[in-house]
Amino acid sequence: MDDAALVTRARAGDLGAAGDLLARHQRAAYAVALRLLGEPVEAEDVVQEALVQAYTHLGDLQDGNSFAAWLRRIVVTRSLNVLRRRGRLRFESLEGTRGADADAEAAREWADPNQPTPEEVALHGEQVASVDRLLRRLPAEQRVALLLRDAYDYDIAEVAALQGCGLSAAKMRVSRGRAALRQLLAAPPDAQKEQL
Amino acid sequence: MRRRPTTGPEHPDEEVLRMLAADAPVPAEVAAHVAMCASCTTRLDALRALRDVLHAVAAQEEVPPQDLVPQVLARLHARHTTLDGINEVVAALAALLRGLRGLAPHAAQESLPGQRGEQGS
Repeated sequence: MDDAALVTRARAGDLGAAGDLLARHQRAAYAVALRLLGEPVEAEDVVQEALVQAYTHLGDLQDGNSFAAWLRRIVVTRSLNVLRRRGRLRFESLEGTRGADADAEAAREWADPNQPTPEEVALHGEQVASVDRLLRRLPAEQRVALLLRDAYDYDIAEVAALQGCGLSAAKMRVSRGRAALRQLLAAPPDAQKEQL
Repeated sequence: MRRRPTTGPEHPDEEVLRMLAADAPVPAEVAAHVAMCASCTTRLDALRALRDVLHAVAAQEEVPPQDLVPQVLARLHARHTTLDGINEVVAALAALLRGLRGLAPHAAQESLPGQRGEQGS
């Protein structure tokens, strides 16, 4: 049964259908919360509240087939609320914002066509899991901005709105997050432990 | 691979390149510049590569605690039960109100003679 059918039945009060729907999406929801928060216990709390909210507000969902994206949005919003309450999501000074030239300079570091880039290396097998671990070492505001923009493809205006900051600050956070992650990816495994 | 020469000083900012990396529409002159600019092409490739890595990370699910959904369902069931209870109370109150409304005309009629008397005096 597809999501739309389960949503229809759950809306009618069918808790069995609701259970199937929530069970189907719990792993993805938990993964999003865990990546944003970096703390399993907090992620579990957020997902539990998000699943309850999703069920009790199913009437707001226009298209049952977009349940996954809708649930993810709820999880993202709740996760950022937790970070904000914990004081881990703060405004950053715009000082030190890198310009296009600096970005270009950084990008040239990966320009050797004969060598795989750190990103290409990271895409192979177990390396993806190590990227996940490296992400947790970024400052929260950079990690969150980078994940929202490049992992979950929110546009930059949404990233700014979700983080409660201006467009420039959102761009800066994403850019700094990218630079920091590239730096970590480029470092040898031992050095990765030392950085940040 | 030979780098193409950089043309023009107007390099788009990182966000515009990111849109290009996602095949989102950008102004034609920007796309034309990037296609001919070694610096921008390199930046674009780096953005694409990082996005691919992060998409791969995002595609990985995590296993939550086993009792996550059962706990949620228990809360939803309790909520349903509470709502059912509230609905029963509301239904009873509605019935009571209907009954009181049924009595209301009599009560009004009883008050009318006095009112008429006051008006008539």
